[in-house]
This record gives sequence, structure tokens and C-alpha cells, in this order.
Amino acid sequence: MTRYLLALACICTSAVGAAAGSGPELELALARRPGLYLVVDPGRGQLVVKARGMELDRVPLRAVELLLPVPPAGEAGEAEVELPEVWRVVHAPKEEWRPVVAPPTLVPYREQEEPPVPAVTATPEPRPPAQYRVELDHGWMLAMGSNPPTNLGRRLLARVRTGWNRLWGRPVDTGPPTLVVETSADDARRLLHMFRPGVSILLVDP
Amino acid sequence: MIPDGVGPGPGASWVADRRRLWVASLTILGVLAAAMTLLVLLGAPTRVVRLLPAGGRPQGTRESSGEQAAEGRLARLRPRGRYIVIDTFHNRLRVYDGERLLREAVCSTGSGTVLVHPEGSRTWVFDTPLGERRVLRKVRDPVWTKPDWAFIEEGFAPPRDPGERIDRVSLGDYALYLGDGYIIHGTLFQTLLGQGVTHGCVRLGDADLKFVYDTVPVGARVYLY
Repeated sequence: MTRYLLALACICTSAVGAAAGSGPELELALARRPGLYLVVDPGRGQLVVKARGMELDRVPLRAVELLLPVPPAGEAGEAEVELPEVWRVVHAPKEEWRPVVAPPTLVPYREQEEPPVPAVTATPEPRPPAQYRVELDHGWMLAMGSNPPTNLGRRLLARVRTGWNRLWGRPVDTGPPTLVVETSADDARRLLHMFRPGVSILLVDP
Repeated sequence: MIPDGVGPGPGASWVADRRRLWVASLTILGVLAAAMTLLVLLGAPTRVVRLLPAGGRPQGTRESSGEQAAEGRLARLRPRGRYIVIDTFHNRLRVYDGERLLREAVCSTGSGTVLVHPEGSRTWVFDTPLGERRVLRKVRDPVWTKPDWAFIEEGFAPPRDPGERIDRVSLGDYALYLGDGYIIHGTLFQTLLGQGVTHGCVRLGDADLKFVYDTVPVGARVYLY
């Protein structure tokens, strides 16, 4: 597998991976910091949430794939895709699921008075999405969830869409290289809140 | 010669219509298929590299000596003594002493709600922070100085008199401060424990809060995920 990836892409080490080498050594660099990091281990079929080298949570994975763009026929060469060993989350997933409280105006405070806006005591449990995308550094994207973009139907649709754009002379967006992690819907929802800017993701060589 | 009154009946016309319908349908399908094929050929292909499922490394596979050394160094980074782990999705707080679980408690963590100031100039996101923190100090009978959002979310303008921000009740009997305004504290809303309803702090029931206060020392690590 490693030889195949080397043939496909050039592996570049991130700033974190200065002591690059095996998974545990890369993880050591992450564990020296106080933040959370996620270890995607295709070999063991699991994603582990860790801090300071300590496992906090573990999620079984159904599939881990790399979805890589290839230039359409007629364009020179095959795009070189740099495969980082460690990614950082740049932007959290879209957050339309969050409840929003927005009082229209503010009235002067009086302690005994009933608040014009009822205090938020029990919000309905938000229903986070079971399929989402996370923007990573190095120009990559992470696709998490139960309906991965690598299934044949979705790839075919994407290809028809880009073909349609190309037919009309519009720019063709091949999309970024994507790390696709397939989990159950419940597990995807459980992990959603952890993808905050700065969180590191380590991909262990299977 | 066809006698008068006898000619192709309605049945023959129906057969011809069906035949024409079939031909038209097949033609349309053929055109659609050709169009789809053209679009697929023009479209941007992608390549999938499958890492799992694959013949992966099963559990218990022997690691190299370098990996074992790195694992050893990783183990030395893990917390020793008493520490807290908070699962913000399931709203559970656990107190450990080394690898031994001392207590598991139901808690409440951040609701994820976004509060927007009427003028749109400020927003607050009520998330519990993730990662590693430390217990900076512990206080008995804590007093809460209510920040602006505590008034704004109820539709009140923040008061000018600082005395009107003092709240001696909401935090309960004990508080463990984690920095940046985040606290492990008590709650008046015990029935809401187990739900994500707070503004980022971690709320505990009375008995669990007392246990945590008595057991976890200042300086102990707190892991939130």
C-alpha cells in the first residue's frame, strides 16, 4: 500500500511531522500538545479520539478511501497529489443545525421582571447531520458519514455534472483531494463537534 | 380485392401505434444514453484509493522496535494521579486515578446555541471547549458575576450597576475553574442533567459535584471531547 501511494503521490511532511517516520512517532509530536487529535487507522478499522496519547473514544469505520481528482482526457499529465501524514482542520463543518437565539431588541434590566425573551432552559436536541465535509489544510477535504462520495452513483453524477459544465465552456471544478471516512450515521453525528479548527488528524499507514 | 366493409380493424391500428411508441421510446433512450456517455467522457474523472476494507493489520500485530519505543514515550505523556474526562456528546463526566475509574457522573455541557446581539455586532457560541485543561482553582459557595450574554439572551440590556450582575445561587455549592470563564459547577436545573443545555460550562448534580470537589486536586488535568 505504501509503495502504491508513493507511486501515486509524493508524501510531504507537515510542520508537525518534523520527526516524521512511523505512526507512533508522528503521534508523539501531536501528543505533546494539549489539544485533541484523531487517529484514523484503516488497518484496524477504527478512528480513535486521543489526547496526550490517551484514548478517549473509539469509533468503528466501515471504509477509508482517498478520492483523488484526475485531469480529464486531453489535459497533460496526471496531477500530483501530496499526501500529508497529518492534517489540521481549517474550518468546521457547516453549522446550520445550531439553534440560534436572536432577541430583536433589548430592554433595561430589572431583576424582578419577567424576561422578554424566555430563558433557554431546555433546547430541543439539535439533529446534527450524518454526512458532512470538513476543510483540511494542504488543500484536502474530509468527507465523513454514512453516504460516502466514493460510491459509484455519486461519482457518476459528479462526472456528468462536470461534463455538462465542460460542454458549455464553464470552469470545471475537479474538487479537492478528499479523505473519505465512512461510519454509521450515529457515529458521524457523535464526531461532528470534534472537527474544530486546529484539531489534527493522523492517518496511520495500513 | 378487399370486399366493402372489410378493412384493417381497430386492432391493427393499435398494434401499429404500440410499435411506433416502442420505436420512439427506444430512440429517446438511445439519445439519452448517448448524451450521458458524452457527458461522462467529458467529465472530470476521479480515482479511488481504498485503504479500508483491505488486508489490514489485525489487532495484536507485533510492532517494530522503533514503534514500541515511541509507544513507550507516548505512555509517559499520559496523566498520572487524578484527572477528569468529560464526554460532551453523551454528557458524562468520569473521574480517574491513573487507570482506575473512581466515579462516573451525568453532567450537562454546552448547548451549541448561537446567541446574536440585536445589533448584530456580537455573537456567542455556547460550546464546551475541547482538549486538555487544568483545574486552576476550587471555590466553595462560588459567586457568579454574570457576563453580558446572560442578560442579552433574555432580552435585557446588560446593567450598568455591577451589583446587579452578582448571582450567589446559580453555580451551586462548589466550583472548579478551568480558565477562560469555563467552570465545573452545580445547577438549579437537576432534571436537565444529561442534556446539552449549558453555555459552555459543565454542570453536575449535588452529590457528584461534592465528590469531584473533594477528590480532584487543583492542577489536575481535565480532558474534554
